[in-house]
Amino acid sequence: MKSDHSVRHELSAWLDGELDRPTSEAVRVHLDSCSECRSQAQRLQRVRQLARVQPSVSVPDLVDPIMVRIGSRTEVRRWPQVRTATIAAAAAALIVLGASLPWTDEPGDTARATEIVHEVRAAARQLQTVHARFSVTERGWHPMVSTRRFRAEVFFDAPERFRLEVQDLTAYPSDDWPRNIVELTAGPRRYRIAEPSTCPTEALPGCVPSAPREERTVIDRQPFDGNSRLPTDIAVPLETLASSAGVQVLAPTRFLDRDVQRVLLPYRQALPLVAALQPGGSWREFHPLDPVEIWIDSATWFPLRFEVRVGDSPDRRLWADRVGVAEERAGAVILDVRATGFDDGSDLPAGTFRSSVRGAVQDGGFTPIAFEEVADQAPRFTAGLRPYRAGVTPFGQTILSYERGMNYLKVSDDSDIRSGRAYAGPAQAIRLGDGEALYQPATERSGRRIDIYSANGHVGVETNLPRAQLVAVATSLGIEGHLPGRLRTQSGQVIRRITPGTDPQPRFAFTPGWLPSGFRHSASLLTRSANGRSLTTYYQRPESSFGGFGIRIVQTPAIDVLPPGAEETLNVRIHSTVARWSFERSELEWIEAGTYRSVATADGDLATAVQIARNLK
Amino acid sequence: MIFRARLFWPVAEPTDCRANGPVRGVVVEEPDPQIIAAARGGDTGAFEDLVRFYQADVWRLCLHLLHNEAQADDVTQDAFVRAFRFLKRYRGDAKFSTWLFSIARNCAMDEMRRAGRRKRVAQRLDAERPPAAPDPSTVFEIREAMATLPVELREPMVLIDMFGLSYKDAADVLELPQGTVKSRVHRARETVAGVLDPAMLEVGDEV
Repeated sequence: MKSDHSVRHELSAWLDGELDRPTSEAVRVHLDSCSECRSQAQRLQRVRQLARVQPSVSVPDLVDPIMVRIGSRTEVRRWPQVRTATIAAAAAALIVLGASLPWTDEPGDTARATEIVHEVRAAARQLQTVHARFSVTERGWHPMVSTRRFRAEVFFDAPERFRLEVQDLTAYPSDDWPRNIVELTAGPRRYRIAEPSTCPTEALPGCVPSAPREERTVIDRQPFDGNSRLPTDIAVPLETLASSAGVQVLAPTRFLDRDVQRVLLPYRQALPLVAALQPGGSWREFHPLDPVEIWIDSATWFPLRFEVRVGDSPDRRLWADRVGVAEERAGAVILDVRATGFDDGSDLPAGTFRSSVRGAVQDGGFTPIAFEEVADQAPRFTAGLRPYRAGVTPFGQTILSYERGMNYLKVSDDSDIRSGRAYAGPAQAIRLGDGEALYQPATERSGRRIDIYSANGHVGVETNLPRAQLVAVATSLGIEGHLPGRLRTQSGQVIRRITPGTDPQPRFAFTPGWLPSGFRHSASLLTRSANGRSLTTYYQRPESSFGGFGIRIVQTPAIDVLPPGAEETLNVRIHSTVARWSFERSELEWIEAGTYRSVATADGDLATAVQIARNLK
Repeated sequence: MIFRARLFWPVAEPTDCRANGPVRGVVVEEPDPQIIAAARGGDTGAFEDLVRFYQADVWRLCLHLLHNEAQADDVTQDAFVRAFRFLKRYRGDAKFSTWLFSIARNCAMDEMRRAGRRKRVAQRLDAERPPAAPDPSTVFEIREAMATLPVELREPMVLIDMFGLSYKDAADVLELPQGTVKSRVHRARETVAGVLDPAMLEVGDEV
């Protein structure tokens, strides 16, 4: 029997009822006589109690994405998830960023930029086939592998046949390093991608994945399926140059004996092009404001060359530390992609786009039907696009699609009415004929889209045509859509959309005096709950918003203390207060005169968030 | 990027007040063996039932290990995908929940290794850290205190205190001897007790 303090290390097990009877008794006896150990037991018991309390964090529903990944379901409903904030704030330090941000807003020849955007759109419409080879040089992927070289070959037969092969020519230090070989083959109904199994870059070269390659095949895919999107910006940078905002035009030049237009834009806008050769595999990361220069053939608007350079955004070093990129000199070229040959308009070899079903199989369940059978659901105006494929999905959706060159248009019709959840998101409410609808810019998963909700159900129109043409197509459906005046969520919040300039702004709300080039207001949502009122405002680039929701500003009066934030935070001065930047949520939060305000950027760019925050009025 | 609404929740009060004497929490339940059998036989509907049954626990476990919702989302998915792949190897000698937790925990470890490099920023800036503002909620303080524990101490504490696992089940999940789990959970609680505001601990009930 123990009678000294040695029972102390048994206290936890005793509290948990994990001791055998004699030891438990010994502990009890010792506690009766030792006030020091008794008080320690009390403290441990209190810790135990507190740890058991679960804060009311609402848990996301992940059933859909999980079932998709194991291949038993094919479509994830990509509605925004709403839930309570994260747990546990942690280390914070004050960092100081420069007062002005000249690098985010280069004035340029906007007339010429607009012309280029029009030319690119026209080229996309006429494109039929492209066959091209590129040499790719990437720097800074891993400390032990400073430079990697690749050869990429692209075949594209508009609108939906695509093949990309990436060969890895890098001289790695040893054979333990996985070669970054990526192969994507897609036809209208089948999509297959093969890539090296994911090993975190930091874990290399020691990490050995269970299988060297991963393969995924989507069968019976619906036309222009968002889950198996084709990276067609490599043929004509249609989404990259969807709008002239933020595009700087440089002096033209010659390359490969051709006249070349040069444009410069931040990585967050050039993402559809830069990521086109990286649909799988392991690649280095880029800061959202790293400049990307693109050389485009002025006859075909094919991207002959593009390079990503190290930007000089003041938060770039912090960002580099965080993503594990070594220190880089501003201006250095970190990705260099050059065409070594390209050919448009010729016949491609038979069988180029043929693929077998291998790896994890996802069944899209799309069943084709004759276009005439559903012609009554067709829009009267299709912007010159021709009927392509029609069919039904396992979810009872009817889909009609149209194409011309690279352009596509997809109309889906279902009786599943979910206006509420879209209503509470960043989508923009627009007038459509005599009714209302929701508009969203293009993202990685979807083209520009309009969703119309009416008594007869939901109709979605999705396209890579410009927004104005999308609106015309949607209007020609002749559906009078409606949006709820307000929405009550399950948790009792009441959400109401307010229109700036028409509805009165809440008195506690400031508006941004500065936004990065091309961002426009898309939605303002006023939320009322037991905790009071809150205003959430979204700003997006109206044509393309690759990388997420754009910019989100949340303002809540009558808050004295910042809610617990994410694990990694930084403090940044905003006027006379200190704001907290969460890396995980890409959100800057502060309290000013009893009002909570936050600015979040979808692509995680701190400098832009700071600039917006400092100019809120 | 997942959209996150910023919401506030009321400060939760301790609900477990069974403070008199040893308590063993039983939080995580076991599924119907027939469901497991069906899922092992390839019935994806049955597996979906298991996902529904356990996703909240697995997600919470991931959140406690990773302190990041987005990572918890991803790792929860990874864990179930891996569980589906290895379901045939589950022989029923450990509890299903224990087996699933150990998969989730391994996935979370993989994620931590991936994310490990990102920590450097916070460490470098530690020296400049201003005094922390007092947090009004003891629940958050304990979460913060637990977040500072080294992972080998945090894991047993999460499993035992938050999920109510027995030492044996926690040992199964962590693939450690039971004695090690016992000493680690004790050290974890002692460490947490040491960093918490003493006033918070004084209000505890008599043992």
